[in-house]
Amino acid sequence: MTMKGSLLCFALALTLIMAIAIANANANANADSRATSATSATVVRAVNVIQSARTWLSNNRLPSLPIPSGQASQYVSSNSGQADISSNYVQSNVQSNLEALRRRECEKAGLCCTSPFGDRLGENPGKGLQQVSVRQTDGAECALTVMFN
Amino acid sequence: MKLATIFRNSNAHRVALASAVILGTVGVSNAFAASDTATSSGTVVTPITITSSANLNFGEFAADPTTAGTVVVSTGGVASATTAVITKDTAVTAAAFAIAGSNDASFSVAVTDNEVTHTDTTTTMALTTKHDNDATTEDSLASYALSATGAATIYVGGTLAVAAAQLAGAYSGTVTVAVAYN
Repeated sequence: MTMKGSLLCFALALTLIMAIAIANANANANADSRATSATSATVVRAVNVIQSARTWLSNNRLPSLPIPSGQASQYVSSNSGQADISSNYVQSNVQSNLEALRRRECEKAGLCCTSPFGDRLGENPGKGLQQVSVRQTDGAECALTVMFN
Repeated sequence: MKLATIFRNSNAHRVALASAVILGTVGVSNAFAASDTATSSGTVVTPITITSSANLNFGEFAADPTTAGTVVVSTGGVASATTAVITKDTAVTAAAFAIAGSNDASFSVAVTDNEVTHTDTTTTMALTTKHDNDATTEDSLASYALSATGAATIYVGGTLAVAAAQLAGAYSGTVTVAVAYN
């Protein structure tokens, strides 16, 4: 075999080796990569609010805040501890009335609560304690703390 | 020994002649040699990688006792609900996955959403996901492109199907995102 032939054979072999290496690299690069994240949710036990909106907003004023726990049951009643705070009645009425109150009284009263339930409906199982808090616009809480037995 | 004496020796003659023939052959061979170069080229693609950087958290909510509803977390991490009432949204987050690979490369996205399961291991809520690459559009496309620097983020939000009087408690599950170059 001539020198030229040898060189050509060597070049072909080198090209073949590189092609195989590149194919492997591409195959690895194109393999599925996957990652998993956790999902989580917490369902809290609901409570039943019967006269809350009208009572809270009687005289166009929020009750004294926070509501003394001993008086809370007049605002919230339970249905054997498995009731509903999410009914449209409660949500729409509390929200609309609070919004109305906010518009009329909030600034004067310094309450400025913008959400009927704020960010917290806590639950302490075994103690029968439910909390509903309403945040003020300044970030402080208008803690509407209620208790039912 | 003088040089003339050496060449008068017949063996020395033969060695010298053979050497000359060999050298001549090599010379002839070199005179006809040629070389050429074949160029080999290839591009090794950066492997595509994905890393979870945030979990999908629906926060806390109360289920309606009589009507089924949904709780939604957008890809931007904002919670909303129908029928159910969100009671704590400070912990709500959309899932996020950081992708890295070749600059400007197109890649496919496959999201596997699983239901979330109560700690009792039997009660569940179905989960349906949406995803995007900007935490806004929720377009759930099959493919996206890496940036000019080879980076992208996939955001995953979802909708939980909340049954009427859904059992209270903590639920958990997983969302898996698989990516591959197109």
